[in-house]
Amino acid sequence: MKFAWNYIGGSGPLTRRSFLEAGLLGLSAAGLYPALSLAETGTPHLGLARGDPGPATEAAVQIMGGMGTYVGQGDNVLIKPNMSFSAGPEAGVTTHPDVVEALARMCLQCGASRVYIMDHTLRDPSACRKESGIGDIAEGFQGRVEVQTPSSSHRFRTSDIPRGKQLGASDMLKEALEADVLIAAPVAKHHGSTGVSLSMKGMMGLILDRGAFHWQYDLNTAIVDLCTKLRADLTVVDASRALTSDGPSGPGEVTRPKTVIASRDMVAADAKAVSLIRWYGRSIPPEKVGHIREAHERGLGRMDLENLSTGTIEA
Amino acid sequence: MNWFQRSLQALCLALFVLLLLAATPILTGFLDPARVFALDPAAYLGAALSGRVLLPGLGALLFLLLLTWLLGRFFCGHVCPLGTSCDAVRPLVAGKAASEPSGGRWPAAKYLVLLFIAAASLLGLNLAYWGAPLTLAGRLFILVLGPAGEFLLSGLSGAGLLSDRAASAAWLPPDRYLGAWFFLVFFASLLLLQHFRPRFWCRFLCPAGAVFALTARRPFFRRTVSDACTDCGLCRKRCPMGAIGSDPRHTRYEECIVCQRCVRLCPEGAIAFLGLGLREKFPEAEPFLPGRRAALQTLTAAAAVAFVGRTGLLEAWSRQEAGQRILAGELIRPPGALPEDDFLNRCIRCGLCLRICPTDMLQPAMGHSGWSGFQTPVAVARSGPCEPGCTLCGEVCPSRAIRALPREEKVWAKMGTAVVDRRKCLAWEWGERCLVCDEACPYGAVDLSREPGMQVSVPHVREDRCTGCGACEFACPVVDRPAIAVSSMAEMRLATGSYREESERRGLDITRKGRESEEKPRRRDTADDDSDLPPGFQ
Repeated sequence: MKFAWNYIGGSGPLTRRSFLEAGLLGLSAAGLYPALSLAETGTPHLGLARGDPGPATEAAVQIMGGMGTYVGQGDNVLIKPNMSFSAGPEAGVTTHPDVVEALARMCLQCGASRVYIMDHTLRDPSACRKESGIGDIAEGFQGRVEVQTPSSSHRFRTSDIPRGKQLGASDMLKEALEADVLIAAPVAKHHGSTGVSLSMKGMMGLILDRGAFHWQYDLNTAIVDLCTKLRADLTVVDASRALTSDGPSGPGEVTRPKTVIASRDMVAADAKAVSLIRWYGRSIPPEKVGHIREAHERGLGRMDLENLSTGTIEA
Repeated sequence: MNWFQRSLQALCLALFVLLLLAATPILTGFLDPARVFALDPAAYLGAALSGRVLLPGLGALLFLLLLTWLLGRFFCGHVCPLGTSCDAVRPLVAGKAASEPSGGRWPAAKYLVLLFIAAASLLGLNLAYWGAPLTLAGRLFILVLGPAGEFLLSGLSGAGLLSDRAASAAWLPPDRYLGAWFFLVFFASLLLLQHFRPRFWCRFLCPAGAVFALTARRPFFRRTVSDACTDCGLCRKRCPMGAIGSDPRHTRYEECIVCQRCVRLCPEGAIAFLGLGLREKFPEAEPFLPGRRAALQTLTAAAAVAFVGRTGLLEAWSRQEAGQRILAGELIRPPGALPEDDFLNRCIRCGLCLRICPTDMLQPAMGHSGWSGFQTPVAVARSGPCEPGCTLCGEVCPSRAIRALPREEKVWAKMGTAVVDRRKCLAWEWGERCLVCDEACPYGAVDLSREPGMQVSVPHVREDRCTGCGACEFACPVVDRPAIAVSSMAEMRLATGSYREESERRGLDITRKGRESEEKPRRRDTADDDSDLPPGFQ
């Protein structure tokens, strides 16, 4: 494994000296945001791994301190991939099953008692489980991993969103409210009304009524509201493939960045994915994505990538 | 009790329900649910006569008739799920013993029902579904009892009587069907008529029973009475089919369903069912047959109904335009349904496609297509979309009213075309950031684009890419009438040949895969100017 720490915006391999310098620079530039605590523990803001989906996922999580940092003995873990569409991995509209499988395996290795892999799908639930390939991964885990695509209202419970600006409450999946650890595992794709659909937008797969987001609220604001409640402990963006046009359902242009991005910070992970990928053939800065910009402004996370540390690795 | 009869009935009913639950061929051949429905002679006759076609399953049906000629109407007494349902309900609703067990001249009515169905079918109106018992049983279980059971289960889990884990396993969202009340009333009446006579339906009305009766006039295996008979008449009073004559030694074999109740009842042990050759005596009681006048009246009525049945406003109009009939806008048929006339003739209304449709999109038509299309499957997108990968309705259709299309072929079988109602659309009319139709469309047939003077991207339907699956209509968050809806415009119905080839001839481009040449603006590599950002960015 070849390790090389470097910073976004900088170039070339880094020495310890420039690492510290840049860390201090970032600290002062970021003002209120304490970057030092992360630099001290040796965990960067963002972990980037290039390679096949499964190994890249493991490596990216490793950069972020390993799964043990997030999952403890006896924890119930909820992994939220995107499996909302009945299409195979090549279509780029669902999370690669190898990414989800690697996450589930790591969780169990770190002592998780149960891992739920759940999404309230847009298309026919059983077709989504089957065609995305995610439904099959539970088989290897002797019943400790469950893949579910619930849609009936009794599986959801109304929960207040104290920090919501517009969205004051919503019916959320019981497992999501009760999980000890929430892991967001979206695929990187374009979205026709929110620009991109990544970890933050993906949280709409854990609630019952999405229609209201479109007709009752400002969609971007409601997404940020939701993420103040359903805030992932770990975000892993699957950019092994990226749907760069005609999202979220495709069919559209699918590129292969062969990258997995991990972070504690949903906003940073999403912002990183936006900057990494060329959308409709052009590069677009994260602040052009309404919900990322608003989340940053509301202090939910950070999109100022130039001030965030990134660990990169070839898996 | 006749354990043999009751066990066989229970077994056959369980098998029938199991087949409907699974709604998939468990074993090839007889256990295929589609094959089961082809065993109904009335359903077969109606579809074959009106469609002028030999349907699959003729061999099995002829074999069944051969067995009936040998064994009598054993099918009615042992196999038919509707007969079993009648028997199950009878003890609950039985009235006082009838003074005339045979029911007077009423048993002749079933022949008239059969004649009526055959005549109307010959004139092009298939009404067999009102009488064909297997298809009636199919609808009884699929449209009433199944959903009722699911409703109860879901109620139990919703009420917290089941643990969350058990509930998630047991949870069956209850299927919803249009006009379930109609079927409830219809079937309740059918079963409650037994207040007057046991097996009221089977004896007096069932057209399949009539076919079996005509076949079983002189069966090989039949009731015989020995000289020990004392003329007590007990068997005659208790025969559920009124098949025993005023002289209890005489039998109306065409009415007898071989339940052998009389054998067990007879105090003298004088009755037995034996295989007797054709040369032996047939001590027949006078059969119940309709008179000539009644038959003529029935024929006249059938002709009148066939004429009137084809004048519904919402059904296919008789106007031809561009080689295609004009259909009512909301009359969306399952993908691969035959051209409307053929479809109406062929469909036996067994309900299998309704049962198997995974999204509940297929619903029984009530008034959607006039009298001629009553209870045929219509696709209701507000109930559910047509899944791109699903070909089940065509696979299960017993009469091939819906063609069994391979997956690649099915997406080309255009069911209709989506149309945006801009006056209701959240994006067009309200300036909301909504793209749900675009998101839902599996075929990339909804384009979001900026219009001059509009703040948000608005949806447009690419008609050449739309297969009419209704995913957009189902997903549209606009309450009441959706802002995007499928109409039957440009639907494609081919009796034979490839949908794909025909679609390509018509210039359609229906695919789920990415397209190479997207005519999207890709001008500059910078985002300085917001005006030409791709959809969604701001």
